[in-house]
Amino acid sequence: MSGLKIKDLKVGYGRNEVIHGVDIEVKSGEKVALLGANGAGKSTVLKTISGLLTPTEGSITFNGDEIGGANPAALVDMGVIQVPEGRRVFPGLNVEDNLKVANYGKSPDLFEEGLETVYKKFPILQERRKQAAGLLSGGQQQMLSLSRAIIAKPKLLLIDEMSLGLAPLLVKEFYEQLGDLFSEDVTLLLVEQNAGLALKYCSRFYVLRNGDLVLQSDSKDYIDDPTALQSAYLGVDA
Amino acid sequence: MSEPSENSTTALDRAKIPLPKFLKKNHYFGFIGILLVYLLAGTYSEYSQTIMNTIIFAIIGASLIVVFGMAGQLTLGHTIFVAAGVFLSANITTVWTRGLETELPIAFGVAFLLGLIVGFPSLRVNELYLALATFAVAFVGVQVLFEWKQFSGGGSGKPVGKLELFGYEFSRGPTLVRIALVLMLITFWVVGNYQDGRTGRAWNALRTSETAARAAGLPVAWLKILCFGIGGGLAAIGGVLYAHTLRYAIPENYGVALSIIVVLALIIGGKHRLMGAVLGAVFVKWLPELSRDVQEYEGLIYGGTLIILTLIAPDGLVGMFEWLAERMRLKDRLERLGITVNNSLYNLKPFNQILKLKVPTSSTIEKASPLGSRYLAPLSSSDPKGSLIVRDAAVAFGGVKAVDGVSFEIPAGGVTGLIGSNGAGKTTLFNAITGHVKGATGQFILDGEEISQKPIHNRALSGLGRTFQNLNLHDDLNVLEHALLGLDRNMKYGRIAESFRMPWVLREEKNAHYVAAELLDHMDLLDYWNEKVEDLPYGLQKRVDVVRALATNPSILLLDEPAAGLPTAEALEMMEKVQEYANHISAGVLIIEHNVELVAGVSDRIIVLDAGKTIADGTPEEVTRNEQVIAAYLGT
Repeated sequence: MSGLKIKDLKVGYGRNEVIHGVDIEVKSGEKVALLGANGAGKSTVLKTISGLLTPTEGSITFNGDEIGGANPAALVDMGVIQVPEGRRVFPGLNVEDNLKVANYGKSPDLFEEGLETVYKKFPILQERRKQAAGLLSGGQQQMLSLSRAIIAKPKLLLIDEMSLGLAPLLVKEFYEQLGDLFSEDVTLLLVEQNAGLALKYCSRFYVLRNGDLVLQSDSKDYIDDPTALQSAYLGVDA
Repeated sequence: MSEPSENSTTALDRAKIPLPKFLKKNHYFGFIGILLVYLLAGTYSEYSQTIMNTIIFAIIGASLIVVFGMAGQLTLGHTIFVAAGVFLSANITTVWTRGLETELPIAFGVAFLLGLIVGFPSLRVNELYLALATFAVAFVGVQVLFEWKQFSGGGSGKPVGKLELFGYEFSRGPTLVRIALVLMLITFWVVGNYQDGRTGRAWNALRTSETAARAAGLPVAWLKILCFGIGGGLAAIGGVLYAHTLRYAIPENYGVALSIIVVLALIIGGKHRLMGAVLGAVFVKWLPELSRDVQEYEGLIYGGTLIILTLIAPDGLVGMFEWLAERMRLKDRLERLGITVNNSLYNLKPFNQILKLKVPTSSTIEKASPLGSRYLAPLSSSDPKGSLIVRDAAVAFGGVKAVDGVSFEIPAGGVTGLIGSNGAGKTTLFNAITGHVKGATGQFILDGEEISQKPIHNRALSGLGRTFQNLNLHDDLNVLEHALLGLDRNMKYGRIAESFRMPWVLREEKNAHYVAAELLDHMDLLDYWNEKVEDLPYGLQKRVDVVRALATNPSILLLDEPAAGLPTAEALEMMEKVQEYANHISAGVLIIEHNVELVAGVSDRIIVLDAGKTIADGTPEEVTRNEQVIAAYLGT
């Protein structure tokens, strides 16, 4: 069994259940999108996989190992890396130190290698590497957040709103170069508000609505029919 | 067609938002509680001393609610105001031989002025550093008292004279308790009035985000100093009563230790509610009465309670009771929303349920537009405003020129897009215009008025409304309060009138509630009016940010990535609403957005920044075909 497999996942905040039994499967090396309207529970699913939230029921396995409710730090060691929503950088640390944090517990040689990839992709970060991350513009902070994931060398990459605040050109490039930036066989589950982009670069997708899975399909079946997708989002009949 | 009855109701009625009233439930409870003690004071005269101390601590606690609970200024110097009251009282009664009629106003006035001075450090430092600075104030205060022997009697202290009011002498014991209760009633009434009014709302806002409070046009600096003035004045009233209870004033009683205990008492009781001041006072003053053993371990018990409370009930004893009550009521709330509750659904947040039900139904479509309502219609204007001239705007961070000589003119009432690659300087340009960044140069002229030199809140008052790239909302405040904060710009009643709940204060507040409700209805937020903003999904939080800006009735609205994180359909819907409202009040809009489809759809004109400079400026068609823009930003 390789890849990510989620079975009958239920998650809640306190006593409020927000994910009511969801099954998702991402095969090793596959790129899959998780779509849905605001408040549908997409970020909750991602946070549960990366160990920030504990499932109330169900199982999550990655390459056959049960990871549901595991310690986030242990998951990072296993290669489960999340890019959190909304530019979570350490504002008081400088750019390079922010990146070093992502290499925590790993060999410095790997870091140099990762750093090269990052600086080649985002030269502005190299230019500003000694500046506090809090002084970067919103979009540059997002670049930094993504760069941390590159440094961390993920096996399973979870991205929450990659395109938030990024210029269209960069978004496009980033998606096209996923293979170069990470490794060819990285397994990707991403949450994206821009459904058009997600369908273009992911082979399959799932749609969540109010904590339930309402649609899953190959991207090619919907890429020319955004209205049908829209109705799945909102639950209205098109 | 819509039903006439549907038309005649206001948004406020439909959402069942309670209007501010002259007397409310808390007033009755408070009055009955105080009356009870008043009547029983004679029967239990052996407890007079402890009851007095409790009342005094409750008054001091209420004064701290102003400074710490509402405005969030953690002060450890509060006892210097108490000391001011105590020693002024001792001097007035012995040297001038006057009574309470002189003591109270002088103590309030002197401590008020003292508070304005003590409040100054709060302009520079926050939280821990402020606590340290005020700690020093308390420390120095006591030293001054020791040395100023003429005033304080030095180390040996000073006796307090007779308890008199307009020449009538009163006995101490139950009579003093009754006088104290009347003063407590007045203090609580005043603090409660602030909690309900614009000043309290502004304090609550600046506690949770100063940046956003400034952007809404609130004079943050003055409000911070003012909270120390008012809090100090009220604490001095407690001090006067303390002087008459102890009958002898010794400087060493008013040191840092007392400062810490009054803050502890309020935190234990609950720092956001007047009831918290009472519970805290009861806790601190009655616990040692229980037994002598308790007295020995006083510090341990306060400290231990504090640790336990911070873990289980960060809002103190009051917070704990409220939480329990809330849990019991949740079911009713859901049922009122028309949701049948069975046990498995009981766990759901109401808004999730509403989202499920809130597919645009016929009734929401047929409803008359809130813009036509009695409350929003008068804001309509056909006179376009918001002409903005930016000349040579420049901002440098260290060596990086984030904005490097940008100039443009926006005619009144237009929608202008501002796009550009990451780090092009868009948000920094916004911050330069609104004053949120230091060291910006250049000239900004809004509707013919130069605003370049004004502080942030005055630029907001001149008509700049803005939203934030990273949401900047006031946690703890509900959605309705965010709208009311924006409306503060156009409220007229004064702070003294507010202290005494004058009729015109209530009239204006009621009107503001109606306006706020219609505005929430327009932005489809009415169902969530009572939700704390931090409990809302991201998309709705973005709308709350917009509502706050719209409520200021701005001349020009600056939107920083309003659609980021929203699916395109949702973003379009929100922008439509914003534009509709901007047209209604004839305001201009300047919008930063990466969703080019969206920004091209709504804008008459787009300005493109790159590396701090303008590289293109024109209609959406021109700009999106511009080769430089394609190369730098759009890509092919």
